[in-house]
Amino acid sequence: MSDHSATPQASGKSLDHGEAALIAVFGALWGLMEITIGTALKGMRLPMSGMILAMLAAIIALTGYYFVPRRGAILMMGGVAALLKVFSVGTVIAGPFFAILIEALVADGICSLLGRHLLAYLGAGAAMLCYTALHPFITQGLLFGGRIYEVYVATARQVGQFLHLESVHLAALVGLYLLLHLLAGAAAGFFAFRLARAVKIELHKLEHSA
Amino acid sequence: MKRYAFCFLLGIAAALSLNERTHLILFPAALLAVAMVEHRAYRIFRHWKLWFFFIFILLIPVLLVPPKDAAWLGAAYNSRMLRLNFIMVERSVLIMLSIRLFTTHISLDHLSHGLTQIGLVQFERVFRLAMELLPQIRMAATDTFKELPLKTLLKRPTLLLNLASRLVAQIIFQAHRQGAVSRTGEENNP
Repeated sequence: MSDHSATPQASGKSLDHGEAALIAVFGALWGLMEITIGTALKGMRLPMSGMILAMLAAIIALTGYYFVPRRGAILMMGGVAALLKVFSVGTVIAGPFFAILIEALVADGICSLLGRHLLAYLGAGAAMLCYTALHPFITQGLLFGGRIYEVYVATARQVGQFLHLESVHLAALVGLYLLLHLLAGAAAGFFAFRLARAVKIELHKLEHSA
Repeated sequence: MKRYAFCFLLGIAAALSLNERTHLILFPAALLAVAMVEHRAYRIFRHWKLWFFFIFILLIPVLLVPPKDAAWLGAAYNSRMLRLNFIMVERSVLIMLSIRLFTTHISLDHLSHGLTQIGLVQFERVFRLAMELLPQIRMAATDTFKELPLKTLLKRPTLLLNLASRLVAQIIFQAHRQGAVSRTGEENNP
């Protein structure tokens, strides 16, 4: 399912103007989505709104990668999105800034490794969404120190005992939560792959009509 | 800027040095120092979610996890866990204040320059371009969302792919045209 008409992955060479414009477009689109839809979802207090937002981010970033298949492209898109997001609220909020950058880094790493291939899109989408699920715990680990995990485990055990649940059941719940993110991420990756191909066809039509 | 970066590093060092022996002196001293350098950093405490989280961390595990070796107002609690959780909260407060102190003085230019320095060599150029294209992208996206046929979309999900692909293609096409124009402009006016 890979696109054989793809240009080979460039890495060290500097960006030409078209590539820079494409990265800018997808970065701005990602940032705009974070500001508008992100704020709306947060306002609605929907459950799993973070997952929905991360799915949209994965779709934009991976579609962008289809048109600029080079190392660092998704990271730059993430950089643009992160800057737009943090300054949309008037000041820098470290949490979302690093979340977007790390999501971009993860996707960039997988795509650089596997290339512009459906498998890379599924993997990168899944990894981005899994990171979204883990991000609050990683941030809390950095802020509170490693002891926060001990507190969580001890509390979960006590709650488990109270509800007559075994550790295995609690682990299964966590696993299910991660699996949900993994599947949602893979779906986002698949949609991004299809969207990128559809965009390519639309672009051909636009170029012919121009 | 360097002054605030130094204060940020000092704050992080203080947070990492907190333990059962040092926290009674170090924590109030660090709070006072932050208040003197940048009192606006304390705005982080306006968020109720933060207070909710602190209360959760300080109360729930302490009341649930054995050994419950002390009691207050009839409620048995784990005294060692309370002490350690208190230090944990103090540490997070210092780190958050340090980050806020530093980021209050960062501008968009500082951050974009910083990202360029950490290896995203051509980032500054891309970011400037993104800022130029942003109004155009916003307009195209808003127009598409206005015309979004939600009812039909629920019946035919493939329509979403068509709409999204048309929107993205349109934005790319316009960006390419604008990019070509700016490049010609650069070549004409070096």
